[in-house]
Amino acid sequence: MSGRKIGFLLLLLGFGAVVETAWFARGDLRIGPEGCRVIRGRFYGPSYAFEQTAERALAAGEAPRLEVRNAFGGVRVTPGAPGVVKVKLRKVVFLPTEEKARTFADRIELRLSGDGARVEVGTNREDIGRGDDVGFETHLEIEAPADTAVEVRGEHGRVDVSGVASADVVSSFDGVAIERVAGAVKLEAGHGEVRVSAVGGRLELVSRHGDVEVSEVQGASKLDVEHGDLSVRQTGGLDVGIQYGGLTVESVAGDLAVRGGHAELRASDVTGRAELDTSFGGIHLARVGGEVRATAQHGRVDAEDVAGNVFAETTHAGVSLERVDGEVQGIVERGGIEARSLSKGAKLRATGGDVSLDGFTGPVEVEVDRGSARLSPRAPVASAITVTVTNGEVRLDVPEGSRFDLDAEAKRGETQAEFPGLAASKTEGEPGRGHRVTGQVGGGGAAVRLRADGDVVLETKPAGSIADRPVAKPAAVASAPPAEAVPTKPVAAPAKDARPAPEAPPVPEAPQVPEAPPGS
Amino acid sequence: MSRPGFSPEGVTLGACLVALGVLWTLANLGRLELLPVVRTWWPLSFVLWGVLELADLWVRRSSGRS
Repeated sequence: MSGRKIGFLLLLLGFGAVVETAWFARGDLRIGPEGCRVIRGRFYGPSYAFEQTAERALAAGEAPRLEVRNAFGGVRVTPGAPGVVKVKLRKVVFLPTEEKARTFADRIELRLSGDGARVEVGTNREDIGRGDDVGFETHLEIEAPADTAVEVRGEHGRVDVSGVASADVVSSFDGVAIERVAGAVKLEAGHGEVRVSAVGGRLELVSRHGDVEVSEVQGASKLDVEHGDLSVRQTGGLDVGIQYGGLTVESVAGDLAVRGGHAELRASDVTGRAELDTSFGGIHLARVGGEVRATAQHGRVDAEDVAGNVFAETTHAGVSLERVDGEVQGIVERGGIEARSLSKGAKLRATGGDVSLDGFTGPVEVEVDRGSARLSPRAPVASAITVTVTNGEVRLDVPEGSRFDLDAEAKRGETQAEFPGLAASKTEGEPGRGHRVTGQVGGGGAAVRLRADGDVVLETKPAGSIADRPVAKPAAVASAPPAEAVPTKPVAAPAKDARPAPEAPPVPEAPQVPEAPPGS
Repeated sequence: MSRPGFSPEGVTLGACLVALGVLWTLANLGRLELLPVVRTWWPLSFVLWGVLELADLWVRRSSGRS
């Protein structure tokens, strides 16, 4: 290889290394004037913090309402004394010296407005900052009466709300935590972790990027989550839409409805009906008090301890059912079905996989293409059984005490049905050529019709119970605790209008790099 | 013997420069994000270079036989 080619190879590799390095270092570069938001919405460099406080009295006799607007900085709302809203603003200014930072911070104002029992909290960020090339954050810590309806609109900053009457929160680029809310909660979160707990009313939540944790919601919940995992524990009726994440649900006092895409779904202890649909992920259910309807594409369906009927449909994976008290219907394309302890029969259809039924009563219909069927009722056969297998074989265990009319045919295999109790039998054809056996077992009864391309084999087994234990009921759902009573503190008579408090001494801070909005 | 006026690495370099220029312009126009696109597709420069080297070898051998 010539030196020229080696040189060109090194040039290409060098270019690739630069591109890969830039890819991994993106977002962490420090370019531009110090303290300015240059990449992905981040401020950096030395910063100084200053504080300002204010409070506003609320008109008596009306339900208080708090409206908070903040662009860069966190918002924390906690329960406070009745009749007054107290606000502390922490201004963090990203400038190299305390003097410069203080001068700039003096221009940042805390604004409280509104009328009657309504209070608006914000800053004058819109009036300053533009063209100044200075980064600054405004963090709001608010104390509001426990019966306050809170509305927060935050962009780049964490939002924490607790101990209020209701909450309506929109947050774009940071985490949100809402807890101990007596009434309804409505939340829209763009990017960041979300945690909601102890809600006395209804919950409506939308999250687009980040994990979500919900617990102890007394009312119904409607959750719409994308690009994050969702964990839900102890709620009322639950309606979930989830894309590109996993779902784990524990304890639902009501119905569960899930529409998933590229999502693995797990749910347990649902007192009502469970209807789940997903793709490229499985569905796993345990202890459901009502009906189950589970539909998955490219994912398996597992369900155990179901009190109602079960409909399970999937492709490219299997279905597994255990202890079902209702009727079962299973449809699988390119996969098999395993079922145990079914008390009201089943209607199963599978292609490209085996069907196995272990312990059942009630009528059974099984259709298999490119697979085999094995049925072991355990209890004496008393209901109709129809099995049709293409490109496979059929095996049926006959418990002692069974009573049925047998019609078994192996089109290209052998029918083996020589066992005690089979009477008035008639054999047609021969093994390999339509070998068919008919007769009565135990004096006759339900119709048992078995058809297979391969062998059809019947064997006697001792009778037993179809299940090792009864269907487990959903665990009791603990009710969510109501919002805690907020201790009231004696306060001095509040002024009617906002009045700024003296500023706190500046607090030098280490260089900060707040969470950034992707793509900004 | 290499034919005058043709070198695989020269053609590859030219093609890469053209591609980079087009992508950069599209990025400046806001039609795409440059870094993810370049990061995804830059190994194709090796493919292009290799294909041209093979083509050059094949042409030279064919010329030698005739």
